[in-house]
Amino acid sequence: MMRSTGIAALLAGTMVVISLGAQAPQPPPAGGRGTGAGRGQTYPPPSRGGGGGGGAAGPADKPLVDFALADKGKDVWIAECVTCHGAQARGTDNGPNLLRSIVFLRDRYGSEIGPFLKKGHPTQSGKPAASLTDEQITNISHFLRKQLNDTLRGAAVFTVQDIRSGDAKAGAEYFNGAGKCATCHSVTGDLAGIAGKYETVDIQQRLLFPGGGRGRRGGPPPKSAVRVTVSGQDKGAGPVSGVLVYMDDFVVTLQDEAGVSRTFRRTPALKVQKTDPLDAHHALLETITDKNIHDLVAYLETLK
Amino acid sequence: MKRFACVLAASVGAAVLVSRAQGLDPARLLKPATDAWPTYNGDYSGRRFSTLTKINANNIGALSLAWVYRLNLGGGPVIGSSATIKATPLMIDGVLYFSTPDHAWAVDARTGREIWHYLWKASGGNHLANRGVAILGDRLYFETPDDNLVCLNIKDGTERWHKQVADLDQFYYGSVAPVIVKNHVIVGVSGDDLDIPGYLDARDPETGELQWRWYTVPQKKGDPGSESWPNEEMARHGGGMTWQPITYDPELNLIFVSTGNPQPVIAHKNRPGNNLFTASIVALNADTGKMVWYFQSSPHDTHDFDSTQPAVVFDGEINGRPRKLIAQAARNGHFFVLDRTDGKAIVSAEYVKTNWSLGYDEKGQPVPNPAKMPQVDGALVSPAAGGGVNWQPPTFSPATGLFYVPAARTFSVFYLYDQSENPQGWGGTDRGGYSESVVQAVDYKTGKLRWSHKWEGPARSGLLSTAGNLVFSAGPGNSLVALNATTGDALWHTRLTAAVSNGPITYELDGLQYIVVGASDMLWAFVMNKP
Repeated sequence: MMRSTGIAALLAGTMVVISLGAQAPQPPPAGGRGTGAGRGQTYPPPSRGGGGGGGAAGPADKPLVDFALADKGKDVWIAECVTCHGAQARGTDNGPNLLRSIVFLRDRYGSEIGPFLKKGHPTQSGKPAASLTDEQITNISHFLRKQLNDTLRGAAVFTVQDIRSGDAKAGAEYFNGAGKCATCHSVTGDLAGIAGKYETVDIQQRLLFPGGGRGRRGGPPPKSAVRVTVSGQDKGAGPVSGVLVYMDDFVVTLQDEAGVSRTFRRTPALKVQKTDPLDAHHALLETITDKNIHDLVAYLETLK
Repeated sequence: MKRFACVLAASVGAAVLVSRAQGLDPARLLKPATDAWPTYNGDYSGRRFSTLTKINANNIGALSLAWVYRLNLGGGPVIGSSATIKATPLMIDGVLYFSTPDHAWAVDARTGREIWHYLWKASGGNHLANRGVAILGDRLYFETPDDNLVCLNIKDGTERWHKQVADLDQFYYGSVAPVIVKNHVIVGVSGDDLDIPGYLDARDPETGELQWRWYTVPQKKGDPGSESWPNEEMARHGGGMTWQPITYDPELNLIFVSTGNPQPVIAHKNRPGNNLFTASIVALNADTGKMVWYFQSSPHDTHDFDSTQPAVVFDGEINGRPRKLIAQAARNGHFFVLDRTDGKAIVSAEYVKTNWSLGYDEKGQPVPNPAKMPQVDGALVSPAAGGGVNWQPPTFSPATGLFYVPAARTFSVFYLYDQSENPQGWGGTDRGGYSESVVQAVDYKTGKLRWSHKWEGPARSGLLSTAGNLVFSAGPGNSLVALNATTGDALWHTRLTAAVSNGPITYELDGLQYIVVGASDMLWAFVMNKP
C-alpha cells in the first residue's frame, strides 16, 4: 500500500535517527509495556491514546523513552532550560509550554529540536544553544518525552495520591450506626487486620464495589454468590434453590446443592426469587456521602 | 453515475450470483430507505428507525439465521479493535460496506460472501475503534488510525486516494464514520490524550481537499466561546473531539455535531469556566461550517462525560404545537430535547439517576456540583466516566414517540492525581465501578420514562427500532434481543458467539426483511422467511 509521503518521510527520519546507534533505545521486552518502567529501562508511551494504541512498539508515533538518557537530559534541562520552560516543561511566564510545542511533538530523539536549537536559542548559562552536543540534544529529547508521557494514563506518576482525609471516630460511628456495616461485618472478625492486607485506596474501592471474586469456577461458591429459588416450574414440583449461574429474560440456570446445573425456561408461571448478599452494598451507593466514605476508610485503616 | 455489473461465482456448490451495483445516488440520502442503509445511522436524522414491518412483534419468533460472515483480515495483524466490528455497516444495492481500524470490506447482503477486502497499513495511531464508512456515488470513504481519509472504489475496493486529515504527532486518530452532506465529506477527529483542539472538517469528495474546518474550541482571543476559558492558551488546547458521526437537517441545511470532553480531562484547575464548545451539541451551516447555535450538555465537564452521543432529529408535537426537535441522551445521564432551529431547550431530565449536578441553569443545561468534581481523596459519582450511555447509538421511534437509550446505572470514584496549578492530559481518573445495564424508553415530550427494561447482566449496544413495534438490542450472555417497543417486554433472543459490538441495522431485499448485527469479528444476518 502506498503511504503518504509525509509519513514516509517521518518514518525515514526516524530510521535515520535510530541508526545513529548508541543513543537509540531498544524496544521494550514483551509484556513490559509501561508498568515495569524504571530507571534505565525503555518504554513506549503508556496511554491507550495516540502513542499507545495497542500496536507493536516503535512505529512513527511511538518514540521510546530511555530513562537513563532522560536523567542525563534532566541535568542539561536544569542547567539551560528550566528557568523559562519550567521543571515539567509545561512553561512559565517567561517561556512556552514545550509539551504543546509542535516542534517537540514532531521530534524523534532530537530530529526536530536539534536543528531548532542549532539555529540559536537563549540558554540560562548564556552559552550558545548551537554548542549543545548531539548527545545532549538527544538526552533532552528523552527528558521531554518522559515529561509528556507522564501526562498520559498509565504513567508511573499517574496514580492515586494520599486519600486519607477522614475521621476514624466518625467512621466507627457510621460503621456501627447509619451505615449498618456491623450487621454483616466485624472489626474483630472478617475485617480484623484489613489495614495490613490492602492499600488504602483498595479498602475504599472494596467497601464501595465488593464482589470481585464472585462467580469463579471450581470450588465452593463464595459467600457473596447470588442465590436463586425457582418455583412453579411444573405442577407438583417444589421450589429449587441454588447458586445463580446465569439468568436472562428467557432462562435461568442455577447450581443446586448437589452441584448439578439446572436450567429453567422463564415462563409467566415460573417464579424466580433472587438473593444477592451484596444488595446492602449496592443500596449504600445511593445514600453514602463522600464524608462517610472517607471516615469509614479512616476507621478501617485503624484495623492493623 | 458510473454503472457496472460484476459476475461473482461462489466457490463450491453455490449458484452463480449476479450483483448489480450502481452506487449511491445522493438523492437517496434525503429520504428514509427500506431497501438500503445508506449512512451510519440509516438516514440523516440519527433515528435508527425503519418503517419495515415484515419482521414484527407478532412474528419475531420465526426469525431465522440467514448467514454469518467472519472477518478476513487479509493477513493484516490484529491491532486493538481491528478484528472487532464496531462499525454500523452501510447497505447499498445488495452490498454491505463496513470497516474496522485499518480495514474495509464489501460483503454480499444476501449471502454474507465477501466481495472485497481492503487493508491499510497504518504507521501507528490508536486502534480503539472504527465506526464505519460513508458512500457517495461509487466511492467509499473511511478514516484510519493514523489520520488519513481513504477513498476507495466500491466496485472492487481499490484505492482512489488518501488524504491526511489530522496530525498523528499530536495523538489525533481517526475512528469516526464520515457522513456525506451534499458535496461535502464530513469528517470528525478523535484523541484525548494530549491537550489538543477538536475540529470538524468538510472535505471535497473528489480530492479530499479541505473545504471548511470548524474548531470546537476558540483558536484565538475573541473567537466565540473565548469568554468561557481563562486564556487563549487553554482554549486553543481545550479538546472537544468530534467522535460521533454528525446528523443533518436538509431543510435547515444544518449539521449537528456533538463534541467531546475538555482538556485537561480530569484535573481542571487551569481551565475555569464552561469551556465552550466542548461537551456540546452544535449546529453548523453545512456549506460554510459557521456555527448557528449551541447547547452545552456538560458545562465545565470534569468527568470525561463528553457529549458525543448522537443528536437525533425528528419532528414532534410539544404542547399541541408542531416543532422541529433534536434530542440527545447524553453520557452524563441527562436527556435533552431542543428546538433545532435555535437550540433552545424544551426538555431537560435525567434518563438515569445521577448525583453530579445541582439542577439546571436558565438554558436547561446541568449545573455541575463542585463537591462531585474529582477529589484527591475520591468523589463517588454517578454515572461513572463510562457514562449513562457511551458511544452506542440510541433509537427514536416516531411510531411510539419513544426515545430508546442503551443505558446503564453506574457509579465510580473520581480521583484527582495531578494537584499542580497547570495540569495536562488527564491528571486523574475514575476507578472501580458498579453497573446495571438497562434500556430506557423516554417520552420525548416530558423526559419521563415510559418503561425501563433492566438486563440481568452486562449488555450494551446500539439500538434499532422498527415500525414492527420492535427494539433490537444486545442482551446479556452474548445475546441479541428483540423488545416490544411499546411495553419493553422481551419477545425474542438468540445467543451469538460474542457480545454485540455495534448497532443493528435492517433492510429489505427481494421482499425479505433482514436484521444485521456485528459481534466481535462476526457479522450475523437474520431474515424473516415466513411470509
